[in-house]
Amino acid sequence: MKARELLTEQFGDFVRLEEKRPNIQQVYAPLYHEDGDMIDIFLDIPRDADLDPQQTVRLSDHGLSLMRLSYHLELDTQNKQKVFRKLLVENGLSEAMGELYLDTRAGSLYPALMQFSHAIAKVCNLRILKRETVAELFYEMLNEAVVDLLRDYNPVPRVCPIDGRDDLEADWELTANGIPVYLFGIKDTAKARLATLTCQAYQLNKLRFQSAVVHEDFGAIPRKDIARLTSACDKQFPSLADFREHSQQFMARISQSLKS
Amino acid sequence: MRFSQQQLDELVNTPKRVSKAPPRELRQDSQYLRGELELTTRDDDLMFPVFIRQSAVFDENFSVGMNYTDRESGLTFGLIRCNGKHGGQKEHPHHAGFHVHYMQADDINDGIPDPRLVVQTTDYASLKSAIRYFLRRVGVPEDEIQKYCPFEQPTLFEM
Repeated sequence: MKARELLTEQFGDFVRLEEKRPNIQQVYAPLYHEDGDMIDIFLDIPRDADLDPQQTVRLSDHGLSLMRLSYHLELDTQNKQKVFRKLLVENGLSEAMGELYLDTRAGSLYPALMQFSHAIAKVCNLRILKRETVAELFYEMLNEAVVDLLRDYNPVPRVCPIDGRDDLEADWELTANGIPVYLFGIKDTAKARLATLTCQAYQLNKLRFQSAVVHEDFGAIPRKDIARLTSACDKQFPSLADFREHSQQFMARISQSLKS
Repeated sequence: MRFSQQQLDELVNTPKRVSKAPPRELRQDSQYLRGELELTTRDDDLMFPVFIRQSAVFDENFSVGMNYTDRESGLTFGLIRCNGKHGGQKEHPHHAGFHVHYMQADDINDGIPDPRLVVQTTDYASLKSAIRYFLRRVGVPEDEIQKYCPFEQPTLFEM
């Protein structure tokens, strides 16, 4: 038997529909998640429906993909939502109340099934992007922490205290008793060096200020860069967790010391 | 960090206590119901978040699982997961059955964070009995299980 015939026969033999609920048929097909579970795909049609090729048919997951994703990942930030929405748009899926679906003509049911299953697999694998998204999320989380915890210090994002030097930007300006405290988020070595240069430039320009940096991972910055940064800035928070825990006390102490 | 199968088995089997209680009722989140609890080892050294999920559309589709975050690498992965009848799996592609997923050392060491070993089970037949089975399986003592998941007379559909 020719390979094409074998494939057609085998795939055809494998695929079947089972009525899950009235007017909801579950598709049993050799399409699996990484853990070996079959991808949950449903056709919202009656059992044994006769389909006209032009008829619209809905492929749906009935909410099971986001349920699966939630085992390990919550779409609880703007950035994660953005990544999720982009994935849906790029793969032609729609979403309503947590249900992912794809409407297709019955005449294109097979390619739509392939498209839908690939997209569902990507959604359920969003957690694999977690590390990459976490890296990009660092600044988002830092921003959220600053706004949540330090609003009493009038946080202003992305300030350039030296006229004409928009290359010497601080991520945040806080104000403690009229004195600016410039805050830098440090995600990597490049940013560590930029923060060092920036703080040194502020000092050379005789600005009156305090400076603080928040590391995503203190241990990831090379020793010499840490040494330079330590020399240039006034305070280092070794992690976002430490910043969340101690930033309010830090700002309170700054305010007190500047008062006296 | 690389894991041995023995280490993974110990993480599953080591006695634990409920450090953060499960909710009395699952809450709805879009198309599914959810709840979380937390288990810790007796010496409070290790913490394991546990999730409970049940489809609001198909109540036979449920999942109770325990995750673990390796301190050294920061990697979070599933150790064990009890599933309801959601459809086929690679080993049993043609019918839905209650089954348990286990993490294998070879998989996590190859960077696959999903528990791929699937074992069919008849040890539970509903979400409630799955939760009790799960807690027993991961080393929570019976008195705590009874405290948080009191035994109920099974309905006809659970028998």
